[in-house]
Amino acid sequence: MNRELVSRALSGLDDRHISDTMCFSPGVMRDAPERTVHMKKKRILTVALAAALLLALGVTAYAVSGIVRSTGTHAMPKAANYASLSDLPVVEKDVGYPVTVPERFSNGCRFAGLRVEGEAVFGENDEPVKEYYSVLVTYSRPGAADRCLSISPVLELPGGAEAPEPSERRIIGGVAVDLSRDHYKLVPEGYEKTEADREMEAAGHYYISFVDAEEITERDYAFAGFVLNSANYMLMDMDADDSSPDDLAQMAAELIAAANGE
Amino acid sequence: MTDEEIIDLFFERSEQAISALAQSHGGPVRRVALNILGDPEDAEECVNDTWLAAWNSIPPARPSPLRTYVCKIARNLAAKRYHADRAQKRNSRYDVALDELAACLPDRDGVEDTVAARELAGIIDGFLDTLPREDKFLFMRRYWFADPLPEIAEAAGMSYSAAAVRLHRVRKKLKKILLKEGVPV
Repeated sequence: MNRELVSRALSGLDDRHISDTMCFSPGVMRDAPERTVHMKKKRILTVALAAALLLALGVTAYAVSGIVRSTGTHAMPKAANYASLSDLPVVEKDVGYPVTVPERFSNGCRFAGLRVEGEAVFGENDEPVKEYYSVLVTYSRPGAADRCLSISPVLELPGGAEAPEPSERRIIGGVAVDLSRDHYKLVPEGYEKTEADREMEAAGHYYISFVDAEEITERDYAFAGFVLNSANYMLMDMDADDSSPDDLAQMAAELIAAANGE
Repeated sequence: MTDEEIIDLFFERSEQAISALAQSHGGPVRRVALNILGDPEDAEECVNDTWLAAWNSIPPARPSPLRTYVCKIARNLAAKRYHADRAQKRNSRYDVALDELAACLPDRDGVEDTVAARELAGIIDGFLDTLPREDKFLFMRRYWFADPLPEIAEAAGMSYSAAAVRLHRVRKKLKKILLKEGVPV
């Protein structure tokens, strides 16, 4: 292929595209002007990491269907960052379903910001089969890694979906909460599983996820997943240790109580 | 100093015009030159050539916005120099960006008589108008400014993977548009 032709074509692009690109600062780019708020850079990166993890999980969860191929972020007009819970009515209106987002938890986690993200389920030819909005909330606490809460609508997917097996299920406030602590190895396309990978996968709670990245990343994650008011809630600890499942279960209990008006 | 004040200096043929231009817009001009050429010395020469080109074209030109104008001059000078020198010096970063896009654009043999670079630019212009702002930002930063993907992802507030996946989808859309326009891909 001819690089020079491509380069010459790019050089001939209209000035408006160059100006538009230079006018976008990250905050301005992600948010509609009338409701622009600025999340701190660290928060944005935390949310991005959580989103990347959810993408990897999504591919794992839906790959079994013959029709649905993957889930992922999808450009949609109401994607935006919010720094205050006072914006929650706007968020609920935009995403189209009610969400419960506590301001603080008893373990010291406090609301630090949220992002409305456009997502889609993609079909065999990468066409969006279903579009929806998810909400990613970041909670911070002094001296500890941030926690994230992902909220998304319960989807009726053609062919169904297969979620990873939880480590434990607890009934909390009448809601089934699935708890997991898993090791994830995020690997680039083309990675060949080692014998050790296969053995650890067979042993359970060890997942190889193929992502569009150049380097291998390994982390321990803990999750507490449950369905509340027709939405999937997933609390995540992206730097998990032995206490993480219990801690997330307590956070789930407080969130469910808040949703029930207790 | 505002762009209008800088342009007034050019119209007065004041030597301060160049230093004021460099102070206000030197950063992005230097970045796009370095992204394409990959060599600091070559990039600095390109930046100086850009100031000279601006001096020679203003007046009569009164560009607005000024930053877009000088960045475009710098990019075109850098790209021309890059292709002229490419047998000696290769900048793998720019090659990688071009190759990504080249995969969904026509082969030279198929395009020379049907779609010239200018016509191709026109199609890409129209395509960019249809994209959401985020996707357009990613496309332009990657292929026009030749920025590395990790930097673009950070600027966009998204993960590397999400940016890469979204760019992949944008390229696929572009390929469909080219096919629709009758361009042999």
